[in-house]
Amino acid sequence: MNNALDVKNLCKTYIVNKRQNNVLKNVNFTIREGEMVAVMGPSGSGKSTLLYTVSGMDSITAGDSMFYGKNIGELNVNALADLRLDDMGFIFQQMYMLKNLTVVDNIILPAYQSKKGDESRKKILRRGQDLMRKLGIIEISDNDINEVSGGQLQRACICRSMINNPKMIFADEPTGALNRTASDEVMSELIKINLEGTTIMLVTHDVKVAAKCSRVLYIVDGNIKGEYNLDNAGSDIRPIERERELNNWLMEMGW
Amino acid sequence: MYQRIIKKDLMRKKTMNIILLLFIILASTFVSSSVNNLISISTALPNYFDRAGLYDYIIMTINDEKNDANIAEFLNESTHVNKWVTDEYLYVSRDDIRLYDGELITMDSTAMISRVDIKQQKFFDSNNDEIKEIADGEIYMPIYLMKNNNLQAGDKLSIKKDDYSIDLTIRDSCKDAFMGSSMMGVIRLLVSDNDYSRINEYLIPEIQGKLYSIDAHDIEAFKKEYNKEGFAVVFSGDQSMISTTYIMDMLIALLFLVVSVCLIVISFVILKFTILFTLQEEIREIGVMKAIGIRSRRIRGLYILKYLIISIVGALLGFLLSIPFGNMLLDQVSENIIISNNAGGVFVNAICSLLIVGVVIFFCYSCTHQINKLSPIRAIRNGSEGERFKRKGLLRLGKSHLPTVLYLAMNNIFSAPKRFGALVITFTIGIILIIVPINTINTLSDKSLIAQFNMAESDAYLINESKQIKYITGGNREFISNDTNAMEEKLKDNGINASVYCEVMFQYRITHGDYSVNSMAMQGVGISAEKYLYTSGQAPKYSNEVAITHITSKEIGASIGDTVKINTGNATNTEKEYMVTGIYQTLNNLGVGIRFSEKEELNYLNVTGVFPIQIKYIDDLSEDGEEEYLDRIKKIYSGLIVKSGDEYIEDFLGDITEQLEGTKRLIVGVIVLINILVTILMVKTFIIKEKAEIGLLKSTGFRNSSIIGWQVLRIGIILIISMVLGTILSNPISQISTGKGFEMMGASHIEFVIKPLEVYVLYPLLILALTLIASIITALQIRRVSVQETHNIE
Repeated sequence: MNNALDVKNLCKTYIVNKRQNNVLKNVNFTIREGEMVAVMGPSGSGKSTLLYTVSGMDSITAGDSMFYGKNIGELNVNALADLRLDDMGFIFQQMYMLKNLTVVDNIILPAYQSKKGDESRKKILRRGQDLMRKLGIIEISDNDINEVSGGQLQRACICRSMINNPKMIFADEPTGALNRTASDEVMSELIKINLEGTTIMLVTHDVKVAAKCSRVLYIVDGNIKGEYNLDNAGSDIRPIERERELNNWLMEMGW
Repeated sequence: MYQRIIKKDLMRKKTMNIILLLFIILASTFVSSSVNNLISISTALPNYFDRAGLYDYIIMTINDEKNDANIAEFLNESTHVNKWVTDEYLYVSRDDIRLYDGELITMDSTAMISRVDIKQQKFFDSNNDEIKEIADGEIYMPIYLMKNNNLQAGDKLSIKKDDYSIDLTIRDSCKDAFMGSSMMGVIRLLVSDNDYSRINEYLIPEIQGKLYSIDAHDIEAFKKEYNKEGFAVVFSGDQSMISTTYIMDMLIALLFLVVSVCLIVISFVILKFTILFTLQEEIREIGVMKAIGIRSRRIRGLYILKYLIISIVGALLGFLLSIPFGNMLLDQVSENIIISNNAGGVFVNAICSLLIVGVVIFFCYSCTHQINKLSPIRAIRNGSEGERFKRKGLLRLGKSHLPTVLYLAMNNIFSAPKRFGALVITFTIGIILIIVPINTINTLSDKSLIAQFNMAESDAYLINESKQIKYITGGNREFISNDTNAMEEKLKDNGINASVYCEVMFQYRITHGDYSVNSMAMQGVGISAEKYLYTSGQAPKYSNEVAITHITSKEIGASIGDTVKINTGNATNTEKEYMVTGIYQTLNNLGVGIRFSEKEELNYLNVTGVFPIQIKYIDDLSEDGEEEYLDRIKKIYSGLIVKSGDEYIEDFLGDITEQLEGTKRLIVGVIVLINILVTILMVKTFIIKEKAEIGLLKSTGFRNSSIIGWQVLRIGIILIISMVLGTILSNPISQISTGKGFEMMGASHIEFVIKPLEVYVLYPLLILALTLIASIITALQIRRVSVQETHNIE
């Protein structure tokens, strides 16, 4: 299996008020194609920074992040934008959408903007609606974003991240703002997407969420302190055992 | 504590506060300078006449001892005269004045030589300083004469007659309250006492004359008394009549009044928008403060204090800028008259700046009113209830065929029309401010304007100064008509079929019932009265018929079919009855006028002036054909000045065409600058407000160029909407604004000359291009907006 993401000696430093803050220090890890990897760690450990830096959403101070063989740090802004449009999908903790667009319009917007393929607008719209149907939110298709619940909106965000059939989805605490039921629904959708072949890297605080992934990276003070492989990721077999296993490991890591 | 909150707020929201400060500076500058200019312009002519010490009534005569003695006797005996003075002047022919290179001076009017220390009035130089004395060998002349001849201070000219010549050096241009306008028909040249005596002694001018300046304690009663006398004069009139010679200057001034009013409107619209916009930014913080228990009154006071600080700083800077800005605009109004800059004084500017502070606080007070009503949580949610909101988007992407970026721009505008309203209003006013003055300027410089002076439109004008003087002094109509007939024959012999005619002016009193008015009267020689424009009724056909202007009609209460009385100085010197057959309009003599039929036998001893000889081709000619005819006429009358219709209008209006061009450039420049400034500030404001959306679009893969396109397209669409609105509104606004100006001058039905290519294509495209360039440059800032800003989305 090929590497989807290959991170080597990654450093990220912020300078605030002339003070240097080294958030990521020589981070090394690899995510293989089709994997679903969770990043966990205490607050302020650099989880989100790691996600945004490796995906090119934020600049790299030093080191490399190879996305399907492309060095993110060497790409110019336009190439990075194209990569985000066609090959990456992003899901945030808050359900960010454009206010003046309906839910379906928000979802299909990146597809209309993409020059990948020569699909007609009608087909894109149908594809957007199919995605919504698949995620069980077709009934809110023409609603404004203010007219739907958080869980529905987060599923709409997943649809948007999926609309251009990306190679990889980066999710920053996708269930962080949801209740347990909504969280489970969103996770089961992400698992489905992963099973269909899309690589996923997600940041979470939730052991239940992380237990559904195939691998967990644990980050402390900007360094990967350890990683844990979970068998049969995404399957519903022995979910409680997986959670318990992961919990024990996290305890060992100092969680 | 509250001090610290304000201090922190001012620092933290630096960009937004700076934008607000800039808009307050703009508003303060525009309002202060515009109000002061309004005062300066509206009182310009009376102030100028006052400064020049112009008398209430002026009479000009040419040497006739008996006539002068009669006038002096009348003035001495008149009970309405406080004081009167007299000055001498000399007429010099154009043929006697040569430029340094030996060329004849270009001058359509008669030249009048005068001393500087005359009793009639004071003169001023180009710096508006009084000219108290002139050194021997120096000369002052009107600015338009210098411009027409490309003359500058220091250039030399000579006045020659036979073998005698006097060399003179141009010291400067002079501002002459009585004769400063080219429409006066006489150019006054100022020389030293010694040079005046030498010209009088050695050059033997063709005509000498006298200027009577009268100070009357009841000018209307004096005019009534004077008009009963039948003195032979070249000119007689009061200050209001002299004012009419400055109509072009005043029309330009009127354009600046329109500009000033529009700038004030723009200022308040932008101010309201910016305050609303910045306050919306604060709503969440208001919620937090409310949530921790700070009272609404305290919170409101906090924001009012913040806006008070910003508005005081902005108003102070605006006050300082308003003085040079106002002067820059006023300097363009007129080179012929003195418009005292800052007529209202610094006090007016200060009051206006204070008014801006008051307006800001009022807007802030009314906008913060909702603080009392907002619950803390609603404020935290940015004024929303939380659950259901009204539908925001109007357009559907799924149903749209527009490119994505264009769709986003359109959807933004139509979903939040209020937000973009201020821009639409500003740009629309900008477009109106360009179209209205340009239409007015084009109307003023078109050859058809001659019809508004109640003259027949002609293809060529022949200026024969010595003949014109003979027409005035000859007292014989046949002499003029024989001349025009002979010219027709001569032209015919040279293959040009044309009618030749001449316009003759008189001053008569017209009476209807108890009402009467002293009026300029016109009669064409060699042309039928039917050839002129009438707004209603018909041309006077018979000798006992007249047409009058609508202002005369209003003043004396006479309309078509009524009988009026006019003393035309006929053999019996009695009033004769005439029937009014038609109504017309004229820009001459404040719109007061009478036109006689060509059949009426008027006393040509009373002629007060003649216009150049007019030539109208009978043959239907192409533009090239007209040019060819004009060349031929120039050859036939090689010693005289021959002008085309356009050239004559240009000369008739003096250097006004050049001034109009300057005005046009200034207005376009000011509007373009305002548009650019407003665009830069608005786009900057939008970027600050939309950082999160920009971040989100970036995170979904939108390139910077697409996001810049989205920002710029919004401005472009708004500008196009404004252009359409501006174009639609400009015509009625022209009629209301400058149309009213024309009406005040006597022309109530002005057909504006519209050059569609210039007005609807060239200037709008220029503004569109420059505004878009400004918005592109400003929108480049989105490159600095990080994807992380997505987290600040509301």
